[in-house]
Amino acid sequence: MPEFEDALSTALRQAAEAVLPDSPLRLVSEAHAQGRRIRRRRKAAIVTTAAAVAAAVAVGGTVVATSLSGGHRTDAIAAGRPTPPSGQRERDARMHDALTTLLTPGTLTGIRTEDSAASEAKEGQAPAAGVAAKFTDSRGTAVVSVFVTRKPAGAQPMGVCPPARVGASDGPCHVFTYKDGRTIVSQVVVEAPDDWLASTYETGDYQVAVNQLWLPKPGAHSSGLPTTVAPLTVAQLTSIAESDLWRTIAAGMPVPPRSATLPFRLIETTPWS
Amino acid sequence: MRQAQTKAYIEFAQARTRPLYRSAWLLTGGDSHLAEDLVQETLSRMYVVWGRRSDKLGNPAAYAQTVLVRNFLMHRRRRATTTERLTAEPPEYGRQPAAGGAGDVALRMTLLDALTRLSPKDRAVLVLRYWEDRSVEDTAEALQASSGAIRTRTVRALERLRAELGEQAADLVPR
Repeated sequence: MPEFEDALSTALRQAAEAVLPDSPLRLVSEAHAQGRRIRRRRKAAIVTTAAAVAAAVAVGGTVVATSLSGGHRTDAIAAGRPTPPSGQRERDARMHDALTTLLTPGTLTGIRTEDSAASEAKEGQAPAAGVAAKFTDSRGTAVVSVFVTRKPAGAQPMGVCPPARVGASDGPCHVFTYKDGRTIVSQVVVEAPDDWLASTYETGDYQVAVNQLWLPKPGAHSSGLPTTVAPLTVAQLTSIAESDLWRTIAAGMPVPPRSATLPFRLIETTPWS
Repeated sequence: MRQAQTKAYIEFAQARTRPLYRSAWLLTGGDSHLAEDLVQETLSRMYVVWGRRSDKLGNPAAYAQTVLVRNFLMHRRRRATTTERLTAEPPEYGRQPAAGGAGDVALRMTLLDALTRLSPKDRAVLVLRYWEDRSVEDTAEALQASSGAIRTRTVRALERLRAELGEQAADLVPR
């Protein structure tokens, strides 16, 4: 058999080495154009998701306003909770501490916060506070970001998967709804490799979106594709999203008007990559 | 994508088009149109990951070859469940190599014909192992299988190919 293997190797080379595509430049040009179209569709899908979220929040608000009996609905966040943070600096500190507390064991570097609770309220968007950091554990490195968004009064948890993105490899999306209406939406957004995982926890009052963008080691894969998966699983992201630490932070944000939208937020990995 | 990244991508795509096409040509049993489609799809996927991960791909050329093989297998699976038809005629072989005499052409046709009769996975294993000279481990990683499974499939695919070639197996290498 080894003789046949050698012969096959030689024969394949003889058969294919002189083969050429009709027009290599046209192939490259068309592949480039196709790649650009896929990218544009991805961006459009993200914008569509944000718009769908905003629309659903607006609709949810209306439904709640007409269905709740006699205005007896209580604000689960405000009642009987510790004094919430009021200023941006304090909120940043709490976001920082929460992420540090929840992401263990592992190493966090380059922690960065983004707070738009004041500025975005003026632009018709729900106030949000974000924190992101490079996280490293024994399984690898990823950028983990968390966004806490205060929802308009009377809004309901959406609990819907984002629309499938054309040209992308969206993995399965799971929706779990608690009896009291709280929802968890978890998804592997880019499957091959598992480099973008997301979990969104939502109550009537606030939303916590946790994203993980994997940063595989350069040159770690002999044939180009990683053999491992991202450091954190979707279950771990969900556990982070459900933490009570975010609830106290959300409670300190101003409640936006019902017309406010919840935009899709993602921290770029550039500063860490 | 930044201009420099686009330029790097174009250079990469131009350099890899021919090797990718040759692999695709073998995988598809000489179907030049399908081979071009696979190459185009592979390069477009490379564009999508290029800006974000060009410095983390490790070996972009090997990554592209792996994407190509997976695209091929995915394409075969889709066709198997949708519109694949069996025909008495071989696929259109498109542009033939400029060099080579009648014997070379006959050799190519014989080999391609035999490869076409193998299952797509068998073909992928043989192309990765004997055309791309990949190790068992690399092949296993590319096809998302265990090394043991690849060893077994390789042996069986070689046996099948040999059976398909029949007496012509001895003529593979010109004496």
